[in-house]
Amino acid sequence: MHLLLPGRRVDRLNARELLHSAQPPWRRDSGPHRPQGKTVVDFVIQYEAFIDGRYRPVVRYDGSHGTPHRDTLDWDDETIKKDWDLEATTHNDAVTEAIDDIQANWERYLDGFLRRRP
Amino acid sequence: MTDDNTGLNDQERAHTAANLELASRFIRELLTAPEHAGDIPEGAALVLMPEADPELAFANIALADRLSAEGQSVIMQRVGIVGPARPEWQGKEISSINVRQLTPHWAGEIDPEQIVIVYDANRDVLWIDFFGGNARQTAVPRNGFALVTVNLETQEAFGYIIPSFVAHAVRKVPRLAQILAVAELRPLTTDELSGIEPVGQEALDIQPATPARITVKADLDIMLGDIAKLGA
Repeated sequence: MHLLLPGRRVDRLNARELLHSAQPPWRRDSGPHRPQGKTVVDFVIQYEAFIDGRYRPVVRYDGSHGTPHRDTLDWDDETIKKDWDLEATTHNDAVTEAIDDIQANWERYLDGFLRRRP
Repeated sequence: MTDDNTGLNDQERAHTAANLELASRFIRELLTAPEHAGDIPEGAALVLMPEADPELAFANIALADRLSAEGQSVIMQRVGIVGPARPEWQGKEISSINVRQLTPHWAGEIDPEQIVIVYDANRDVLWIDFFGGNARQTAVPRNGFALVTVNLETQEAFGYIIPSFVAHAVRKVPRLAQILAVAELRPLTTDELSGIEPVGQEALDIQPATPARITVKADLDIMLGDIAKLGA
Protein backbone atom coordinates (compact mmCIF):
# COMPACT_ATOMS: atom_id res chain seq x y z
CA MET A 1 0.00 0.00 0.00
CA HIS A 2 1.59 3.23 -1.15
CA LEU A 3 0.11 6.37 0.32
CA LEU A 4 0.92 9.06 -2.18
CA LEU A 5 1.89 12.53 -1.06
CA PRO A 6 1.38 14.79 -4.05
CA GLY A 7 3.76 17.64 -4.48
CA ARG A 8 5.90 18.22 -7.51
CA ARG A 9 7.67 14.91 -6.89
CA VAL A 10 4.79 12.90 -5.41
CA ASP A 11 6.53 11.35 -2.44
CA ARG A 12 4.85 8.44 -0.68
CA LEU A 13 4.54 6.42 2.48
CA ASN A 14 5.01 2.73 1.90
CA ALA A 15 3.00 0.89 4.53
CA ARG A 16 2.98 -2.53 2.92
CA GLU A 17 3.52 -4.76 5.93
CA LEU A 18 0.95 -2.88 7.94
CA LEU A 19 -1.66 -3.67 5.36
CA HIS A 20 -0.49 -7.24 4.92
CA SER A 21 -1.02 -7.55 8.61
CA ALA A 22 -4.52 -6.21 8.40
CA GLN A 23 -6.06 -9.63 8.04
CA PRO A 24 -4.72 -12.72 9.87
CA PRO A 25 -1.89 -11.04 11.77
CA TRP A 26 -4.32 -8.60 13.35
CA ARG A 27 -5.16 -9.95 16.77
CA ARG A 28 -8.15 -9.02 18.89
CA ASP A 29 -6.89 -8.36 22.40
CA SER A 30 -8.87 -9.71 25.31
CA GLY A 31 -8.73 -9.88 29.09
CA PRO A 32 -9.15 -7.20 31.76
CA HIS A 33 -5.70 -5.65 31.32
CA ARG A 34 -5.55 -5.73 27.55
CA PRO A 35 -6.23 -2.61 25.51
CA GLN A 36 -9.31 -2.59 23.33
CA GLY A 37 -9.08 -2.80 19.57
CA LYS A 38 -6.66 -4.51 17.19
CA THR A 39 -2.99 -5.27 17.67
CA VAL A 40 -0.34 -4.78 15.02
CA VAL A 41 2.03 -7.72 15.04
CA ASP A 42 4.12 -6.67 12.07
CA PHE A 43 4.75 -3.47 10.14
CA VAL A 44 7.05 -1.51 7.90
CA ILE A 45 6.38 2.14 7.24
CA GLN A 46 8.83 4.08 5.16
CA TYR A 47 8.90 7.55 3.72
CA GLU A 48 9.97 7.45 0.08
CA ALA A 49 10.89 10.49 -1.99
CA PHE A 50 10.51 10.52 -5.76
CA ILE A 51 13.92 11.65 -6.98
CA ASP A 52 15.55 11.27 -10.37
CA GLY A 53 12.73 9.19 -11.75
CA ARG A 54 12.15 6.67 -9.00
CA TYR A 55 11.04 6.26 -5.41
CA ARG A 56 13.93 6.20 -2.94
CA PRO A 57 13.39 5.13 0.68
CA VAL A 58 14.59 7.89 2.98
CA VAL A 59 13.67 6.62 6.42
CA ARG A 60 12.10 3.34 7.46
CA TYR A 61 10.32 2.27 10.61
CA ASP A 62 10.53 -1.48 10.90
CA GLY A 63 8.80 -3.78 13.34
CA SER A 64 9.27 -6.96 11.36
CA HIS A 65 12.29 -8.27 13.28
CA GLY A 66 11.15 -7.98 16.87
CA THR A 67 11.93 -4.63 18.42
CA PRO A 68 10.62 -1.70 16.39
CA HIS A 69 13.36 0.59 15.19
CA ARG A 70 14.08 3.37 12.71
CA ASP A 71 16.53 3.00 9.85
CA THR A 72 18.02 6.05 8.18
CA LEU A 73 18.90 5.08 4.63
CA ASP A 74 21.37 6.04 1.96
CA TRP A 75 20.88 6.17 -1.78
CA ASP A 76 21.54 2.43 -2.16
CA ASP A 77 18.82 1.57 0.38
CA GLU A 78 21.54 0.65 2.88
CA THR A 79 21.03 1.53 6.53
CA ILE A 80 23.49 4.18 7.66
CA LYS A 81 21.95 4.65 11.11
CA LYS A 82 19.75 2.42 13.21
CA ASP A 83 17.82 3.95 16.11
CA TRP A 84 16.42 1.67 18.78
CA ASP A 85 15.38 4.45 21.13
CA LEU A 86 11.74 4.63 20.16
CA GLU A 87 9.45 5.56 22.99
CA ALA A 88 6.89 3.03 21.83
CA THR A 89 6.79 -0.31 23.59
CA THR A 90 4.16 -1.94 21.39
CA HIS A 91 3.87 -2.22 17.63
CA ASN A 92 0.64 -0.21 17.75
CA ASP A 93 2.41 2.65 19.48
CA ALA A 94 5.40 2.29 17.15
CA VAL A 95 3.14 2.73 14.12
CA THR A 96 1.69 5.86 15.67
CA GLU A 97 5.15 7.12 16.60
CA ALA A 98 6.40 6.43 13.08
CA ILE A 99 3.73 8.43 11.33
CA ASP A 100 3.95 11.23 13.90
CA ASP A 101 7.71 11.41 13.40
CA ILE A 102 7.54 11.34 9.61
CA GLN A 103 4.79 13.94 9.67
CA ALA A 104 6.88 16.22 11.88
CA ASN A 105 10.30 15.64 10.34
CA TRP A 106 9.87 14.61 6.70
CA GLU A 107 11.50 17.78 5.39
CA ARG A 108 14.53 17.28 7.62
CA TYR A 109 14.83 13.64 6.54
CA LEU A 110 14.50 14.61 2.89
CA ASP A 111 17.01 17.41 3.22
CA GLY A 112 19.52 15.09 4.89
CA PHE A 113 18.96 12.44 2.24
CA LEU A 114 19.57 14.89 -0.58
CA ARG A 115 22.75 16.07 1.10
CA ARG A 116 23.97 12.46 1.09
CA ARG A 117 23.58 12.22 -2.66
CA PRO A 118 26.64 10.33 -3.95
CA MET B 1 10.11 29.88 -4.03
CA THR B 2 12.72 27.39 -2.96
CA ASP B 3 14.72 28.10 0.14
CA ASP B 4 16.32 24.80 1.10
CA ASN B 5 17.95 21.71 -0.25
CA THR B 6 14.62 19.96 -0.84
CA GLY B 7 13.72 22.16 -3.81
CA LEU B 8 10.07 22.33 -2.71
CA ASN B 9 8.08 25.52 -3.07
CA ASP B 10 5.53 26.68 -0.51
CA GLN B 11 2.56 25.03 -2.22
CA GLU B 12 4.34 21.71 -2.67
CA ARG B 13 5.40 21.78 0.94
CA ALA B 14 1.84 22.57 2.04
CA HIS B 15 0.35 19.80 -0.09
CA THR B 16 2.84 17.23 1.13
CA ALA B 17 2.23 18.22 4.75
CA ALA B 18 -1.53 18.08 4.24
CA ASN B 19 -1.29 14.66 2.61
CA LEU B 20 0.93 13.40 5.41
CA GLU B 21 -1.78 14.52 7.81
CA LEU B 22 -4.28 12.52 5.74
CA ALA B 23 -1.94 9.53 5.72
CA SER B 24 -1.63 9.80 9.47
CA ARG B 25 -5.40 9.85 9.91
CA PHE B 26 -5.85 6.95 7.50
CA ILE B 27 -3.32 4.75 9.28
CA ARG B 28 -4.99 5.55 12.59
CA GLU B 29 -8.30 4.53 11.03
CA LEU B 30 -6.64 1.29 9.95
CA LEU B 31 -5.51 0.69 13.51
CA THR B 32 -8.97 1.40 14.84
CA ALA B 33 -11.04 -0.34 12.22
CA PRO B 34 -9.02 -2.23 9.58
CA GLU B 35 -12.21 -3.37 7.88
CA HIS B 36 -12.69 0.20 6.68
CA ALA B 37 -9.64 -0.16 4.50
CA GLY B 38 -11.79 -2.23 2.17
CA ASP B 39 -10.19 -4.54 -0.31
CA ILE B 40 -7.04 -2.70 -1.20
CA PRO B 41 -5.06 -4.66 -3.79
CA GLU B 42 -1.46 -5.46 -2.95
CA GLY B 43 0.87 -2.85 -4.31
CA ALA B 44 -1.94 -0.43 -5.07
CA ALA B 45 -1.28 3.26 -4.91
CA LEU B 46 -3.66 5.01 -2.55
CA VAL B 47 -4.51 8.61 -3.21
CA LEU B 48 -6.18 9.93 -0.10
CA MET B 49 -9.11 12.27 -0.41
CA PRO B 50 -9.76 14.93 2.23
CA GLU B 51 -13.20 15.72 3.58
CA ALA B 52 -13.05 19.48 3.45
CA ASP B 53 -10.10 20.74 1.42
CA PRO B 54 -11.20 21.33 -2.20
CA GLU B 55 -7.80 22.54 -3.39
CA LEU B 56 -6.04 19.46 -2.08
CA ALA B 57 -8.84 17.24 -3.38
CA PHE B 58 -8.45 18.62 -6.92
CA ALA B 59 -4.69 18.15 -6.77
CA ASN B 60 -5.09 14.57 -5.59
CA ILE B 61 -7.75 13.75 -8.19
CA ALA B 62 -5.41 15.06 -10.89
CA LEU B 63 -2.67 12.83 -9.52
CA ALA B 64 -4.94 9.77 -9.46
CA ASP B 65 -5.99 10.51 -13.02
CA ARG B 66 -2.39 10.82 -14.19
CA LEU B 67 -1.23 7.64 -12.46
CA SER B 68 -4.20 5.72 -13.81
CA ALA B 69 -3.38 6.96 -17.31
CA GLU B 70 0.13 5.60 -16.78
CA GLY B 71 -1.36 2.18 -16.08
CA GLN B 72 -0.97 2.06 -12.31
CA SER B 73 -3.54 0.49 -10.03
CA VAL B 74 -4.93 3.47 -8.16
CA ILE B 75 -7.45 3.62 -5.34
CA MET B 76 -8.91 6.91 -4.18
CA GLN B 77 -9.60 6.51 -0.49
CA ARG B 78 -11.69 8.98 1.46
CA VAL B 79 -10.32 9.76 4.90
CA GLY B 80 -12.17 10.90 7.97
CA ILE B 81 -15.42 8.98 7.87
CA VAL B 82 -14.65 6.51 10.64
CA GLY B 83 -15.60 7.35 14.17
CA PRO B 84 -17.48 6.06 17.18
CA ALA B 85 -20.35 8.50 16.60
CA ARG B 86 -20.72 7.57 12.96
CA PRO B 87 -24.43 7.13 12.25
CA GLU B 88 -25.61 3.92 10.66
CA TRP B 89 -26.69 5.60 7.43
CA GLN B 90 -23.13 6.74 6.82
CA GLY B 91 -22.12 3.11 6.52
CA LYS B 92 -23.50 3.21 3.00
CA GLU B 93 -21.25 6.07 1.95
CA ILE B 94 -18.65 5.28 -0.67
CA SER B 95 -15.23 5.62 0.93
CA SER B 96 -13.06 4.00 -1.69
CA ILE B 97 -13.00 4.28 -5.47
CA ASN B 98 -10.93 2.23 -7.86
CA VAL B 99 -9.64 4.73 -10.39
CA ARG B 100 -9.63 3.43 -13.90
CA GLN B 101 -8.73 5.29 -17.02
CA LEU B 102 -11.44 5.05 -19.65
CA THR B 103 -10.32 5.38 -23.26
CA PRO B 104 -13.44 4.67 -25.30
CA HIS B 105 -13.19 3.84 -28.97
CA TRP B 106 -15.98 3.52 -31.49
CA ALA B 107 -17.41 0.04 -31.64
CA GLY B 108 -16.69 -0.27 -35.36
CA GLU B 109 -17.24 1.41 -38.69
CA ILE B 110 -20.26 3.69 -38.55
CA ASP B 111 -22.97 2.56 -40.93
CA PRO B 112 -25.52 5.31 -41.64
CA GLU B 113 -28.20 2.63 -41.87
CA GLN B 114 -27.63 1.76 -38.22
CA ILE B 115 -27.87 5.26 -36.80
CA VAL B 116 -30.70 5.85 -34.34
CA ILE B 117 -31.61 9.39 -33.37
CA VAL B 118 -34.29 10.10 -30.79
CA TYR B 119 -35.29 13.40 -29.29
CA ASP B 120 -37.18 13.34 -25.98
CA ALA B 121 -38.92 16.71 -25.88
CA ASN B 122 -40.09 16.42 -22.28
CA ARG B 123 -36.58 15.86 -21.07
CA ASP B 124 -34.94 17.98 -23.81
CA VAL B 125 -32.53 15.12 -24.39
CA LEU B 126 -31.14 13.97 -27.74
CA TRP B 127 -29.87 10.41 -28.04
CA ILE B 128 -27.74 9.35 -30.98
CA ASP B 129 -26.64 5.74 -31.34
CA PHE B 130 -24.45 4.79 -34.28
CA PHE B 131 -24.77 1.04 -33.86
CA GLY B 132 -28.43 0.11 -33.99
CA GLY B 133 -29.76 1.54 -30.77
CA ASN B 134 -29.42 -1.33 -28.34
CA ALA B 135 -29.27 -0.41 -24.68
CA ARG B 136 -25.82 0.63 -23.52
CA GLN B 137 -24.12 0.13 -20.18
CA THR B 138 -23.40 3.66 -19.07
CA ALA B 139 -22.61 7.15 -20.23
CA VAL B 140 -19.59 9.26 -19.43
CA PRO B 141 -19.12 12.98 -19.98
CA ARG B 142 -17.54 13.81 -23.33
CA ASN B 143 -17.49 17.56 -22.81
CA GLY B 144 -19.64 20.21 -21.17
CA PHE B 145 -22.61 19.29 -23.38
CA ALA B 146 -22.53 15.65 -24.39
CA LEU B 147 -22.04 12.23 -22.83
CA VAL B 148 -20.69 9.22 -24.66
CA THR B 149 -22.50 5.91 -24.22
CA VAL B 150 -20.00 3.14 -23.56
CA ASN B 151 -19.56 -0.43 -22.47
CA LEU B 152 -17.20 -0.29 -19.51
CA GLU B 153 -15.77 -3.76 -20.10
CA THR B 154 -14.93 -3.42 -23.77
CA GLN B 155 -14.58 0.38 -23.64
CA GLU B 156 -16.51 0.53 -26.87
CA ALA B 157 -18.40 3.76 -27.55
CA PHE B 158 -21.77 3.70 -29.27
CA GLY B 159 -23.08 7.24 -29.45
CA TYR B 160 -24.03 10.38 -27.61
CA ILE B 161 -26.55 11.58 -25.09
CA ILE B 162 -26.99 15.34 -25.12
CA PRO B 163 -29.00 16.69 -22.18
CA SER B 164 -30.51 20.18 -22.52
CA PHE B 165 -30.21 19.77 -26.26
CA VAL B 166 -32.30 22.76 -27.31
CA ALA B 167 -31.70 24.80 -24.19
CA HIS B 168 -27.90 24.64 -24.44
CA ALA B 169 -26.44 22.67 -27.34
CA VAL B 170 -28.58 24.26 -30.08
CA ARG B 171 -27.99 27.69 -28.62
CA LYS B 172 -24.28 27.01 -28.83
CA VAL B 173 -24.38 25.54 -32.35
CA PRO B 174 -27.71 26.50 -34.00
CA ARG B 175 -27.36 24.18 -37.01
CA LEU B 176 -27.59 21.21 -34.64
CA ALA B 177 -31.34 21.93 -34.67
CA GLN B 178 -31.39 20.29 -38.12
CA ILE B 179 -30.93 16.95 -36.40
CA LEU B 180 -34.48 17.24 -35.10
CA ALA B 181 -35.73 16.95 -38.67
CA VAL B 182 -34.48 13.38 -38.85
CA ALA B 183 -34.97 12.44 -35.21
CA GLU B 184 -37.69 10.24 -33.89
CA LEU B 185 -39.71 12.24 -31.40
CA ARG B 186 -40.65 10.18 -28.36
CA PRO B 187 -39.74 9.61 -24.71
CA LEU B 188 -36.47 7.81 -24.09
CA THR B 189 -36.36 4.71 -21.92
CA THR B 190 -34.07 4.40 -18.92
CA ASP B 191 -32.06 1.76 -20.79
CA GLU B 192 -31.64 4.02 -23.78
CA LEU B 193 -30.36 6.70 -21.43
CA SER B 194 -27.80 4.20 -20.11
CA GLY B 195 -29.31 4.45 -16.65
CA ILE B 196 -28.89 8.19 -16.27
CA GLU B 197 -31.79 10.54 -15.73
CA PRO B 198 -30.89 14.00 -16.97
CA VAL B 199 -33.92 15.92 -15.68
CA GLY B 200 -35.78 13.60 -13.35
CA GLN B 201 -38.98 13.40 -15.37
CA GLU B 202 -41.42 10.68 -14.47
CA ALA B 203 -41.69 7.68 -16.74
CA LEU B 204 -43.78 8.33 -19.81
CA ASP B 205 -45.52 6.02 -22.22
CA ILE B 206 -42.76 4.30 -24.14
CA GLN B 207 -43.26 3.39 -27.75
CA PRO B 208 -41.05 0.89 -29.59
CA ALA B 209 -38.15 2.60 -31.31
CA THR B 210 -38.31 3.07 -35.04
CA PRO B 211 -34.79 4.10 -35.99
CA ALA B 212 -34.54 7.27 -38.02
CA ARG B 213 -31.84 7.18 -40.64
CA ILE B 214 -29.46 9.66 -42.09
CA THR B 215 -28.58 8.82 -45.63
CA VAL B 216 -26.32 11.71 -46.45
CA LYS B 217 -22.85 10.97 -45.11
CA ALA B 218 -21.87 14.63 -45.26
CA ASP B 219 -24.61 15.53 -42.77
CA LEU B 220 -23.33 12.93 -40.36
CA ASP B 221 -19.78 14.21 -40.57
CA ILE B 222 -20.90 17.77 -39.94
CA MET B 223 -23.01 16.79 -36.95
CA LEU B 224 -20.28 14.64 -35.45
CA GLY B 225 -17.89 17.50 -35.80
CA ASP B 226 -20.33 19.91 -34.22
CA ILE B 227 -20.95 17.62 -31.26
CA ALA B 228 -17.26 16.99 -30.75
CA LYS B 229 -16.63 20.72 -30.75
CA LEU B 230 -19.47 21.60 -28.43
CA GLY B 231 -17.36 21.70 -25.33
CA ALA B 232 -14.37 23.38 -26.93
